[in-house]
Amino acid sequence: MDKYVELRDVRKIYKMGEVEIAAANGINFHVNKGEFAVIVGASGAGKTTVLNILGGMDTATSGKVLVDGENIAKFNNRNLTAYRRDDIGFVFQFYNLIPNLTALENVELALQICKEPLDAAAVLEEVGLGDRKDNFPAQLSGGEQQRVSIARALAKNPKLLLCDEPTGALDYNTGKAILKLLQDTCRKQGMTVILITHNSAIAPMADRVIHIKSGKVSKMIENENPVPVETIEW
Amino acid sequence: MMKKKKNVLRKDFLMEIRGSLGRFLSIMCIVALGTSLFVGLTATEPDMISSGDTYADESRLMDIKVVSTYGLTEDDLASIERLPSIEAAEGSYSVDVLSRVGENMEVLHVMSDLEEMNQVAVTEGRLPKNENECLIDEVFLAATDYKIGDVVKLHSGTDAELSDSLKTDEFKIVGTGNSPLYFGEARGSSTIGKGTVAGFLVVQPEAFAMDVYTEVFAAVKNAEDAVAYTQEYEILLEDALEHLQLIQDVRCEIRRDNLAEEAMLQINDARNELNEKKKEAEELLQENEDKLDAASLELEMGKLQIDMGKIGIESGKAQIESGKAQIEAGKAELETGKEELAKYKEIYQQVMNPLKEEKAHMESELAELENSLSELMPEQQENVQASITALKDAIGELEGEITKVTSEFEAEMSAGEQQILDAEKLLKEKEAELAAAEKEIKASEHQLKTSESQISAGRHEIEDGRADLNDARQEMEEQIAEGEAEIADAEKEIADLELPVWYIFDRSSIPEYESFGDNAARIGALSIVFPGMFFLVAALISLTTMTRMVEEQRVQIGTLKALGFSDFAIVKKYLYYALAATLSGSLAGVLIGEKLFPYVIILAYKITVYKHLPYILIPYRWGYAIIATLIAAACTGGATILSCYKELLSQAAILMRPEPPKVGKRTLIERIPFVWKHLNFTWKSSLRNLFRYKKRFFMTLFGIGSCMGLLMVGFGLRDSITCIADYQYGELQLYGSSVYLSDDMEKEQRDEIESFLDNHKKISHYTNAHMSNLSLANDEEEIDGYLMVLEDLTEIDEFFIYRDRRTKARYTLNDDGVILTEKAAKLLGVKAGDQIIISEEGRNEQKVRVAAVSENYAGHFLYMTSSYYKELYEEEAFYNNILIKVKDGVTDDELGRIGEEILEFEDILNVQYTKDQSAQLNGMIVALDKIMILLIIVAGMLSFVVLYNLNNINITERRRELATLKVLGFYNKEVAKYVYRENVLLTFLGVLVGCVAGRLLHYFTIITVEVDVAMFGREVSLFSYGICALFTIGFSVLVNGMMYFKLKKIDMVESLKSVE
Repeated sequence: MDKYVELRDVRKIYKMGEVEIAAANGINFHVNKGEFAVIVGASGAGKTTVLNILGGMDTATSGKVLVDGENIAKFNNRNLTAYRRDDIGFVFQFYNLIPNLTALENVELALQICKEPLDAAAVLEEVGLGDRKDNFPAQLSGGEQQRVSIARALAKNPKLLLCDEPTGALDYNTGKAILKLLQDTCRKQGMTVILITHNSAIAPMADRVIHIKSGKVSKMIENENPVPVETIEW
Repeated sequence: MMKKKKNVLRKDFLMEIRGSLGRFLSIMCIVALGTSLFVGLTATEPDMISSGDTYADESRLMDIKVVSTYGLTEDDLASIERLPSIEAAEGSYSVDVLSRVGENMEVLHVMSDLEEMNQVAVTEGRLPKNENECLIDEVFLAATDYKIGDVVKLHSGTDAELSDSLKTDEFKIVGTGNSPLYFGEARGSSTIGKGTVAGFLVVQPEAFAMDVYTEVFAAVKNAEDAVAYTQEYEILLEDALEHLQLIQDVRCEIRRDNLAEEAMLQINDARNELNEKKKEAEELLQENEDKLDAASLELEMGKLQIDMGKIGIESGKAQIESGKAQIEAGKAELETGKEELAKYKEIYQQVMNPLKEEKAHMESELAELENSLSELMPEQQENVQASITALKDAIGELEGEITKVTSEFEAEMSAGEQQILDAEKLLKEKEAELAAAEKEIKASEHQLKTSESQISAGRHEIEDGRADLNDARQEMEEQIAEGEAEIADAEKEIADLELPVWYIFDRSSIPEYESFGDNAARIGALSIVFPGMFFLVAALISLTTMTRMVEEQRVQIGTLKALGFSDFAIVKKYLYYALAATLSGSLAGVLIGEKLFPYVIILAYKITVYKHLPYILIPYRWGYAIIATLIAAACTGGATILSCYKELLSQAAILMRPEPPKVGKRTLIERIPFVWKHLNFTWKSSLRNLFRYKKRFFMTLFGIGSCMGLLMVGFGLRDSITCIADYQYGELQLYGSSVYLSDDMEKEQRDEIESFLDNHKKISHYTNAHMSNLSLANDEEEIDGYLMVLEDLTEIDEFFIYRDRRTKARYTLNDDGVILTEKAAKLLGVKAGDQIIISEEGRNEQKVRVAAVSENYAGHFLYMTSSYYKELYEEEAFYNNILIKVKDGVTDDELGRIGEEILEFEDILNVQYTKDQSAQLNGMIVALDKIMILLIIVAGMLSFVVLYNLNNINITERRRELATLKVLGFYNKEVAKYVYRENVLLTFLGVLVGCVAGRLLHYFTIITVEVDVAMFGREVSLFSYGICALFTIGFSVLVNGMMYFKLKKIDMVESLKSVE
């Protein structure tokens, strides 16, 4: 149950000529299985670096990244691709749907590559888009597109759902609805969700809140009583 | 302020280029390709022509060649030179001779080294310096074992002695070289040997034994300044030809009169000589006869003498006989004398004996007495003495008597004996005399015998002499008769002496000179279509690229607009961008294209056909460069304005907002659920992409299609030319060689040849044909072709196949009408059932009905039956040609030998071989192969530019999408496949489009490139389709392979960024 995802002393150092910039400078935190974790930080604090490393899109310069017991920091490119393929569901800020494919096809596209996919239509039904499944992204609203994006991530049946500012491009109410969907998914399906945001107001709904500042975890709070999304306002 | 603003925009502009180098380069490249192809192909024509013209000018190649049936005199030369349109003229000698090369007798064209014109380019060694040296054809030398320093032995190829034309028959090779009279490897045809000339020899004019020029070469005034093959040159030439025509008749008449006069003089001389000879001969004969007569007279005398001698001998003999008789008589007398003497002796003895007996008796009595005396006493003695004394007296008396009788007898005896002795002596003398006489007679008899045999020998001699004399007389008479007949003939000949004919040739008589110009013109004709294709693709590439660029920068455009920049100021940037790419592209294209294409094309022609062309002149022709640049600029500039147009119409506010994503569209294929359901999502996405971005779709389709089409033109052209030889000489005209007969050929000679052909083991069929030049015309057009009348139609299938090109349906030649070949029919615009007008030189025009139009690739032919001919011209056709077909498996060499054998018959003008024609075509194929490499490179570059551009746009436009796919866990290969799918589809579609376009383009190229006298094959082989498709796909694979690295570099972080 404990420490399903764990980062130990993770550093990411970019070399800009002679200057070394540490985007992550010894990050330590963990998330338990089935938790809804929120990583909060200001722009440039290093939360995107954490996301990249956790999402298998980038590798740490040093430290350990344990996901379900495996140290992905040691993975090569190919292993990382397999990790992204099988273990991660990614929800983008700007949805990143393939414009030429319908909602259903966008979900199916992801399923084409993974081992134990869920039924695409059923997942779309779950995210509340059963009746829009044959529409192209351009015919959907932002919230609907984000639902498709979530459906695409969930349908892969991943170990971890990574969400990068999922509400960043959405209006207040839609954003709330999306957060609710994510929280419900976590609660109902026991999915481990890690959500990255600069909006600390979201923090109360999470089981665990990790604050990042200047490439380090400034504090980690375990929330015994997370509140439902509806009660949060920002 | 203004300055600063400008600087900012300029900086932005330069940054723009640097930031999108791939895009810039793709416009530049396609423009470079288009312009280089345009300037290259357009410049090739003038470049090729000026290369040829420079060669002609520098070698002072003749413009006109005049040949006369009787040769040309110094006067002819002078009068040609005096013509106002003639710059210079030079007389030359030449003769075709045979020389043995290996087993073959090859024909060599021996020509005199000219001082001014047709300068021979010496490759090695030097020009001949004396009468026994020669310079030999470089091409010929290479094909033989000869080398410099060797001696070439020449033989006459006709009945005439070689010494009639050349002073020596052996020439030492002192150099090798080329003559401008031969542009390529072909050396023309000849009336001797195999009928084709194998090489030339250049010798000093002094080496020739001719008293008139064989030909006169002339340079046309101002023609050197005019470029050959151009209108300007043709006009000058026409003038000169006209002038020559004008003096031709006069000169010919003068020549004939001179010849006649000369001949008359010669005849007179001959006659005088003959008469003199006759006289001389007669005198000589007479003299001989006189001599003979004298000799026979002498002989008679001799004989007479012999006879006299004989008589003398006879009388001598008689004398001897009488002498002998006398001797005999003498002897008899002598005998009687002797007998008488003996008788006398007997008588004497008879007389003596009693006397002697008495004496003896007395003596004995005496003795007794005397004896008794002594015994007796003296009385007795006295008595006895007296008796003795009486006895002694008696004895004395007796002894006197005896002595008297004896002395009488003895006197008489000795007188008789003396007489006998004398007679004997006389007899002896006489006998000796006789013997001497006999000997003498014998000797004179012998002498007479030898004299007699001498005389009989002399008689024989005289008889022989007389016979000889008769023979000589007869001979002389014959000779005189002959001489007289000859003189009579000559007189008759003079009486019928025909006008000489001048044959006036221009440079088109030089083998391959004409084709050089034709080839140049053909390439010129191609310079529209191919570059046109490239400019179209350039426009499409500019359109897509600039559209993408403008789309990418719509926010910036909006911002600039909001800031108050004018539309033009905004457009200017993109226009400049496109024009900068265009200008640099066309500069590169011009610089490379104007050198590369003409060079490669002319080089290809040079190394295959026009081997002696010393120059490849490829100057920059800026006129073409400017035209090409303007066209390119129009294409790209137009495309740029078109792409900005939409953006400029929009409001600034709209532009500043990100463009709403384009709505995915359902495609037609989705209406077929069966297919659609089975496609995976990358396929679906690709298909929808294809149909959504139409500009890109067409650009790629066009680009790939052009690449494919271009390749197909090249490979198809090869097919088309190959098929001329294959079809024409493999399927349509099946004979291996044709033998041209002289018009003078008699029936017997023809029979001889026919029996030779009948019995030849290697010949399977032959047939007589009438072949002549003919002009074919309808109301407007007129073309030259060949009339072919076949004597016998029973075996016609062995020689000609008449069929429709498309349906392959066979036609039969019959009396209903003529069969016309396809190209001729096309040029005249006639079809089966129409009528055309034909005219043979020196004959009335005739209307004929075209019964069928038959497939044919080389030349124009009009076939008709002999009865149709007869009906038309009211006379039998003269069959001046024998077409020969050899058995399967007979090699070209063997056919050549058959040709040589045939040429040995009388009145054979020429033997032509089908393989020679095929060989020439194969030369074109080799040239084409070189150009093909260029085509493949160009096609490859085209497909590269297009595919690179497509991929570049696809990748930059879908960077986010591809990054997302990577984040979703797609492997690099899967991402690549997703992108490639489109390329693959477009490549295949492009290949399909290219097949159609290539087919059309090939057809267009064929009809452009085709010369009037030939028809190229219209088909492209399946093999060519295949190989072109493979090349195209190969190029596509190459570009896609290169794109893989670009795909790999896409950063997943892109996916996190917002839409621009």
